[in-house]
Amino acid sequence: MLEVRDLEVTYGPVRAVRGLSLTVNDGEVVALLGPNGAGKTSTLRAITALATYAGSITFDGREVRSLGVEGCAKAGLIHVPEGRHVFPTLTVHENLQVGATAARGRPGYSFDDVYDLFPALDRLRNREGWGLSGGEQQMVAVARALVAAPRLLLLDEPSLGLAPIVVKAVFAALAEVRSRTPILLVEQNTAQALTLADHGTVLVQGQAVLTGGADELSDRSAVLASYLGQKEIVS
Amino acid sequence: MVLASATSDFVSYLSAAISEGSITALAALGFLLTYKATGVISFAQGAFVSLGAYLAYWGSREQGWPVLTACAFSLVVMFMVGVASERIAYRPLRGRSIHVVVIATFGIAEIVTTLINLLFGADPKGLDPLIHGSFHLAGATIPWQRVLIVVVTLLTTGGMMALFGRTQFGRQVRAVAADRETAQLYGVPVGRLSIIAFGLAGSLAGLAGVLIAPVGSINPGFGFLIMLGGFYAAILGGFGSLVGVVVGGFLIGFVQYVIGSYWWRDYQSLLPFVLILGVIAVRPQGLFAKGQTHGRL
Ligand SMILES: Nc1ncnc2c1ncn2[C@@H]1O[C@H](COP(=O)(O)OP(=O)(O)OP(=O)(O)O)[C@@H](O)[C@H]1O
Ligand SMILES: [Mg+2]
Repeated sequence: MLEVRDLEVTYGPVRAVRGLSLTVNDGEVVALLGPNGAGKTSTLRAITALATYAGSITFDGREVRSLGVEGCAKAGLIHVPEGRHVFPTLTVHENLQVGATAARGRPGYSFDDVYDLFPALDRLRNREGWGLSGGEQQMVAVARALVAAPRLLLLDEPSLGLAPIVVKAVFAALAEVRSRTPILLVEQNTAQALTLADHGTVLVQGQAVLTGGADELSDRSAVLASYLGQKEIVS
Repeated sequence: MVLASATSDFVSYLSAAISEGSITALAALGFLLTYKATGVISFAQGAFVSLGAYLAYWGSREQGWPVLTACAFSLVVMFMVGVASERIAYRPLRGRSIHVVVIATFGIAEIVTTLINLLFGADPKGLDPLIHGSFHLAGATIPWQRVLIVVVTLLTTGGMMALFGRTQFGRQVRAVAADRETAQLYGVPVGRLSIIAFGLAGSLAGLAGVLIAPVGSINPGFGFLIMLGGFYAAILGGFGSLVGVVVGGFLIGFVQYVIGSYWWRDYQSLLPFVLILGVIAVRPQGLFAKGQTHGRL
């Protein structure tokens, strides 16, 4: 459903993404891995038309450039941005209500569904965004994306800056979500990402250096580690 | 006798303070609407107050329509004028410095004021009130129009609070104000919101114009002073707080028309300034603001 071909994203002289191709099919979870500055966020921003790009990105055969940012949301391409971006002056429930703007009658998750998925949010319904912990914000960000009835969910580093126990909770919820919704997952927490993903692509300096099934990537953890500049990766 | 006249003076000053304060609050609400939705403080609001009054004048005096019809006509046209100002001053300049947009709104004010001068001349004009007559309270004569002004302002404020607090439109506007890009990621129609906000701000300016015009007379520049008052009220209340601007509006009315009628009569119109400077010195964020006061586009 999502086809990225020869993607190039540049910021003036900086070539953030160089010739990346990847595909996400229905029912799949694809991980996009890579160290800081690899171009992961740039890729996601291009996919929802936030960044201008060369090459082609099609969602259900339609070029996202011509859909525009709002058009992508309306088509069900739902992006949870890096740093969560919960609306600080809106309550948790209002954040969800605004998220639901993108749903436009598509079948998806109801408010009750997401409160069931994240029971911790239920008692925070009337808390404003700025008063939430990082973990709570991440849950709101994911919940807000789910009520937008995603046909494809794009997640930018959902584990960023969260305590391990919170990361577990978020990924447990995502494991439920994946049965209904395909996901393109950007992560630096490789081990965690590969527990969820079917496939993965490793991006280094804007280029794909390694692509394969999640098992394969886990097996080659030494190679992965060298690319990612991490000491050890065990899933 | 002396005592009775002192009371009646006070009551008539107070009624002026409350109704002028209401108009100030209405003008400030218009500011707030575009500010919340787009981050722009539109200085075209003052000229729109004048234009709203002149449109009602044109309808009732020159076309012979009933005053209510003329006022309704004015509000509808002012909505469209507000939308046009969005198209001209905001949309093409989006993403440029906020100062450019603000200056463009001054440009629109200039154009509108000039047009009013050309079409209607500079002589003061009168508009009939929606409600004729007056009543007596403690020896003071209070026109019903002043009561109407206060009632309409309170209803409008309540309506705005409900609009921002309880409707999807209001939530979307607040989301855009907080984080425009993320709002777009969730399909919030930011373009349509800013059009509606500017349109409603135009109607609010018109409303202030048609309500206050019958109390005195109108001339092409009269809206400018009302707008300044509204701007002060918005600063006083803390830009962004609905309750704040209304309280700010009433405070300004009180200082100018009650305090200014007893003391410093010659400096009456300066008193709001003094009030603002005093408040800002102590509370730079305004009386009711919750925190951030920054420009955004
Ligand atoms: N708005 C921008 N202007 C200029 N350069 C940018 C901009 N955004 C990103 N870059 C550069 O593009 C490259 C890729 O950045 P990007 O944010 O896509 O990486 P990332 O893989 O998401 O990194 P991280 O894991 O730290 O989030 C980096 O070199 C970055 O400095
Ligand atoms: Mg990133």
